[in-house]
Amino acid sequence: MKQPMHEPAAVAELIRAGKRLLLAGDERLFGSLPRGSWIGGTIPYFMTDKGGVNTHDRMYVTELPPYVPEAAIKYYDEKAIADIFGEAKPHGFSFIMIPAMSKTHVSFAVNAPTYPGFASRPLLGWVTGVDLAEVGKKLPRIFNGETGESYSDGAIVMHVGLPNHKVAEVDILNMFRPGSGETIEFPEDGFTANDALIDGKRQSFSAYLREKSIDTRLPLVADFAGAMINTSFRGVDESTHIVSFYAPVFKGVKYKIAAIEGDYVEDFARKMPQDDGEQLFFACNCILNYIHAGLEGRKTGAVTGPVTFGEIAYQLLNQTLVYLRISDV
Amino acid sequence: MAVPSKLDPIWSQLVSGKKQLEFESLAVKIVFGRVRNEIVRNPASGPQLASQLYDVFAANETLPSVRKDLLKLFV
Repeated sequence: MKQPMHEPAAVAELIRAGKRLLLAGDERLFGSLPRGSWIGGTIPYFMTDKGGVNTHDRMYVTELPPYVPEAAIKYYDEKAIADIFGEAKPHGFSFIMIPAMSKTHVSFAVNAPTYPGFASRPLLGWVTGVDLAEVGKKLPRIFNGETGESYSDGAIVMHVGLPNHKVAEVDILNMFRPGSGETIEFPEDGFTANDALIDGKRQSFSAYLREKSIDTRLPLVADFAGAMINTSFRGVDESTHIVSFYAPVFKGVKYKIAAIEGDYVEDFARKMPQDDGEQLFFACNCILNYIHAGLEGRKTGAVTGPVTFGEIAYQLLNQTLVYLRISDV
Repeated sequence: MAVPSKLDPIWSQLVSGKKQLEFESLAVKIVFGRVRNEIVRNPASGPQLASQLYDVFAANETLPSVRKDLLKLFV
């Protein structure tokens, strides 16, 4: 992966040169950018070749390769986002950004697997955020570089076509595995839970977490035919005993509290597919991994990219590295 | 390797668990995982779920991981 952190003036030059870009950075950096073929989202955390950084002065830039024949930018509101798979290019991939804590974020999280054509085309992206010190004070945003508009809701998407001799694949690296504890199920879909079925027995989920001294930095993990899908804990309200999550839990899905072995960064370096410098087009990792695994200043191998408030690989994910590889057919 | 016809019994065999395979493609895994959860909740949904499984293979048959997964269907 190339060195992708740029100051806004350099990004502006790329835009004026006609480059097609996916951008990530602090909100104020977008104000000076000219219109062009780009989409962007707010976040100040990044994995770089020098390790994890928090910067409000530079942007992470992903440039579409010159061989890409077409790239179409579209804004979707909360309802229209259901069309995303149907409107993807027949051969290529779609890249999406959604502001955290928006109605579209919630709607996508709950409904994406029910969208017409779900998983019929490669879809990846990320949930935009803000500096953790500004949560609740500032809203995450997305930007349409073609129109100059920005939004705190909806989704901005670049549908990218590829030539026939290239193919794009979305994949994930999840450092968490289902632990050996009880099987947890929930009586209803949702971002919150009061009760849960613990090995089939219904009880207060917050009480269970307290009794077992569960470390809620570890996510719930569900095994989807070998794809380990996380749901991260957001918090426990001590007065209502309601447990909240950063992604919805679903009725009928069996969850385990996660287990992780060893050191995140060392394990990551071993398990991340080796990048030959040409194939890895984009990657993003979760802010919770950045915090809990202490990624600031630590390198994640050759993998660079924004550190995000949610990751998207066909659907919303938590505490997961999502990446796209483009290879020759 | 062509995707088996939508009517091929392989799809219902995968949905029911009569045939058990491990897949590489993330798209296939996510859809198959949902299918396996749903068939337990709603056993009558077998034909619809078989169709979903066929659809994800057919839509993604050019992906290298799906091509590997297609080979497994014929083992």
